[in-house]
Amino acid sequence: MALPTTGPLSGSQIGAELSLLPSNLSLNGMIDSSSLSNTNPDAYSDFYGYSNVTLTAVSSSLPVNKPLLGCNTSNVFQLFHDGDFANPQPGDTLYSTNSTSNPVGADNWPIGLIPEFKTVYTTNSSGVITSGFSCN
Amino acid sequence: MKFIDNNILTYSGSYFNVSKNNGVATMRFQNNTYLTNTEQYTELFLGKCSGCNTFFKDSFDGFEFDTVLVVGLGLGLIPQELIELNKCSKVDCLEISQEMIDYTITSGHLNNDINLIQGDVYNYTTSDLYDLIIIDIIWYDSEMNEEQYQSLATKFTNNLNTGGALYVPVIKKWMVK
Repeated sequence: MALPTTGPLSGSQIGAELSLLPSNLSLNGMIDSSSLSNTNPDAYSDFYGYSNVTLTAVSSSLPVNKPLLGCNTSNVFQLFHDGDFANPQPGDTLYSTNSTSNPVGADNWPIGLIPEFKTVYTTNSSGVITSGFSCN
Repeated sequence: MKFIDNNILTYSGSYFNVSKNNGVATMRFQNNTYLTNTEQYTELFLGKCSGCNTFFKDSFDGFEFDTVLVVGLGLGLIPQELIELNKCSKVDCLEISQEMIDYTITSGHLNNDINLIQGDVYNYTTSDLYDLIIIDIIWYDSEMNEEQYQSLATKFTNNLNTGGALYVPVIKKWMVK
């Protein structure tokens, strides 16, 4: 989960996001352990909204009202997911940009390059995939 | 086919809303499911899409029909196409929501030759006979289990002409009498 974008931000919160040991929470060390560019001077505020999750890009077409309708659609943009595999799975979250700050809303998202092998993923209002409909 | 978006009245009610998103009429329900005024809907579900899943085109291939019961109104894309493009002589549409029927009449976008009937498909009985009965009341295949489908198939078999078909597109069921 991404760190907050405003308000108090502690070293322990940042350390938890970076999976660091509690004894290794110097600001310089945390910056070095993150994907942030070195900033001078370093500041805790650099971590506002930061997420240590690596997102995977997938090709998608416009969302459809019923999953069946998504099987013959043309890909027009990229979505991103936080799953461990190339294709998203139920329980993963879909994002509209390469940032965990922008989960998609509730809808049906056709994903895949070849129409017959697309999967239409249904997401809830938090962007979490609740089911997948296979087009083949 | 689809409706001219400007002919569809915007609406805000208790069961659903109708709005225009980038000019496209969208009917959105409380549970976030929605229907949009697009040509793709009837192209797929009425078997007119060559590049789509072959189930739909194959089901309609060589199948002739003139009288149809459509269960589930929505924006009315399917019944409208059946009456205006397929030139069916009789299109009845069964809809559970009186609010939706009232809205549709007020909006005026649906062809007046389509007969709107209020009723629950699982309780509705009629002695009318049809060549085709289309049940389009679900978004996801998980919303109708085999037992529910069989109960509808058993009941509506009596309302099919010989050679007629019961069709549930979302679960890809096509049963010929």
